[in-house]
Amino acid sequence: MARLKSLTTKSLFRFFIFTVVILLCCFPLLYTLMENKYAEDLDELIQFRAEEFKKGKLSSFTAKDIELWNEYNEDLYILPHDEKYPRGIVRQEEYFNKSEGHAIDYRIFYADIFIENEPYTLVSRVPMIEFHDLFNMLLTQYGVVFIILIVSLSIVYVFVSKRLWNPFYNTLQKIERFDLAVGKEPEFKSTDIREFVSLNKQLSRLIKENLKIYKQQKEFVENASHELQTPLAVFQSQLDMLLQQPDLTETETNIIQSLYSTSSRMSRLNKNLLLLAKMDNEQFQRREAINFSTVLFDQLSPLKEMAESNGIEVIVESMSPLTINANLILLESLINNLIVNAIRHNVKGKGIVCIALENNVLSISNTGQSEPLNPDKIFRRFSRTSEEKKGNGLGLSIVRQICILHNWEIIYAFRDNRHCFSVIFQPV
Amino acid sequence: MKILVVEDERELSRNIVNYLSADDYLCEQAYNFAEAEEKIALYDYDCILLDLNLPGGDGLKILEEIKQRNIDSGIIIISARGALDDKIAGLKIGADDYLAKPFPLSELSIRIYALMRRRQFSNNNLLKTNGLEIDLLSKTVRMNDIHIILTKSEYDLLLYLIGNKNRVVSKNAIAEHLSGDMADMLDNHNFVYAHIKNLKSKLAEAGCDNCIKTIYATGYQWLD
Repeated sequence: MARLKSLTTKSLFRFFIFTVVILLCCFPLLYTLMENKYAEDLDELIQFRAEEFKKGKLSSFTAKDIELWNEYNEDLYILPHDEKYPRGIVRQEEYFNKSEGHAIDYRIFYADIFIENEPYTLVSRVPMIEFHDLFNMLLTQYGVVFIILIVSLSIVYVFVSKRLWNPFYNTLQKIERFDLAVGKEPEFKSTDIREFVSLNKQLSRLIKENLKIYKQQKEFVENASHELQTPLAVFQSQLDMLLQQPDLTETETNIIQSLYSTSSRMSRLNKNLLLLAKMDNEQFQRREAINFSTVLFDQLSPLKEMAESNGIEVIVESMSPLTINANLILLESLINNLIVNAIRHNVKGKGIVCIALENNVLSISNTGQSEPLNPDKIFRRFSRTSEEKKGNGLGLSIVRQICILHNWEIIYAFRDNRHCFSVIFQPV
Repeated sequence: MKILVVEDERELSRNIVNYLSADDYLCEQAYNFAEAEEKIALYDYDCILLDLNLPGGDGLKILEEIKQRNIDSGIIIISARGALDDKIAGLKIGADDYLAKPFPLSELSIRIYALMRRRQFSNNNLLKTNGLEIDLLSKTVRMNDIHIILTKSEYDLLLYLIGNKNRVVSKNAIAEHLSGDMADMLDNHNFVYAHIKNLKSKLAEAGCDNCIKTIYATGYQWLD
């Protein structure tokens, strides 16, 4: 990808290039203009000199005087008449110049005169400014103006451009900070530039629309889960009624048992979806100071018996006192999910679950499959690590979401053949 | 004893009524807000099962009305909302209990049983069935003057079965009742089986035989 430049840099660079090109193009024009004006002045001068001579000296001039005159008047001299000289117009011709030591351009004017009734040609001339003299002079003057112009124009350009684009940058900054999940619509700075007003208006519309859809989507999950509860309740009550039938065969009860399991899986999935949706909808804002170990043991005791009936030992290794600021419902859910996970994904008959709380860190580790889990995948919704365990793939997502809501950190590690989940709490 | 079932889902309502009818309860049904209001105004009920999402209005409004009129009925909210706020709001207004859908009918039955006992039989804390005497206050169980010592889980299980007597209670419902909400996430077969086995043998030792019938490890039934 090309290197990114800022709007100001890019436009300033272009402005600079174009200005330089234009100013450079103007230089030959300026030169020609100066040269022409200069020549015009000189032309007037030599014509004036010729006229003065004709009016003044000519009346008393004799043929003998010509040689002497020509010796002392280098730029106003008299030649014998010749038709080859163009008369009446000023021309530019090259002559040797003694002071310069080489040939230079002269502005030259020929006029017919009569001395003692003999025709002669009066030559009036003046050296033109030399090319490099004019060029150097102009370059110096123009150069100074050029630099002043470029610098001042650039400064003005940057200033104007900054002012002009200010609403745009403001809008950009607001959009960069916008977070759909936070749901706060940015308020754009008002401006009198039509395009930016239109931009802000369209952005506001898009953001509003997005927020609405996002909210609808979040509410949809919650509403859908709520709506599902009723058919699930009907389903379960029908099973309860079916179980009341006298003389059920073993095959029939097996089917009923399987339907019960399916029913409870569905309602667990639904409960978890609902919990996630409620977290997304910020319905667990309430926080209270909670004694951690009380909650842990409350949640642990019914699960412990269940774990032991499956041959899994639950050991509380250490429990340092800890008070945290948390939502009780969510904290219970976090503990439940972590412990249930540690029991479910364990070695049946000889498994161990270790629970420890030290220095604000809760670690729950368990024996289980000998391969470490993929830490990138386990917290994702509906990503399951094993096929045989009929989880719903939401437990750890819930755990992570709860941690995010409370600013806690959850870490997975595989150490000494044990899967260990650690939650780092923020103590009060 | 009269119970009003306010529930718009007719099949669920019918199942509740059928399940509860085994307990000498007289059940009436209301399927919407207006019917519920009318029945509450006209008749007295010992217990009202109240769904919150009703066609025609919010069930919490009915609850408020019941409390305003000083109607002395036990109230159990059965709601699909399940939201904590609803639960708190319901209990604040004066509901006695709250059951989130979906629930096992046996759980509903035991909640009604507990509520009715609290409200009406507060002087009679002795429960008798099949010669078994249970003192609900001291939580002791006797059979022919023999004291049967039960663990807390076994005692809860016994009450659960007796509260649903003559009906089959599912293994899952028992696990959830004893182990809480997360029970469905774990394999509860051994857990329930072990508790039933221990309870059966303790009862048999005291001479209370064949009270608990097993339906192929899927359900259990207390025969009275």
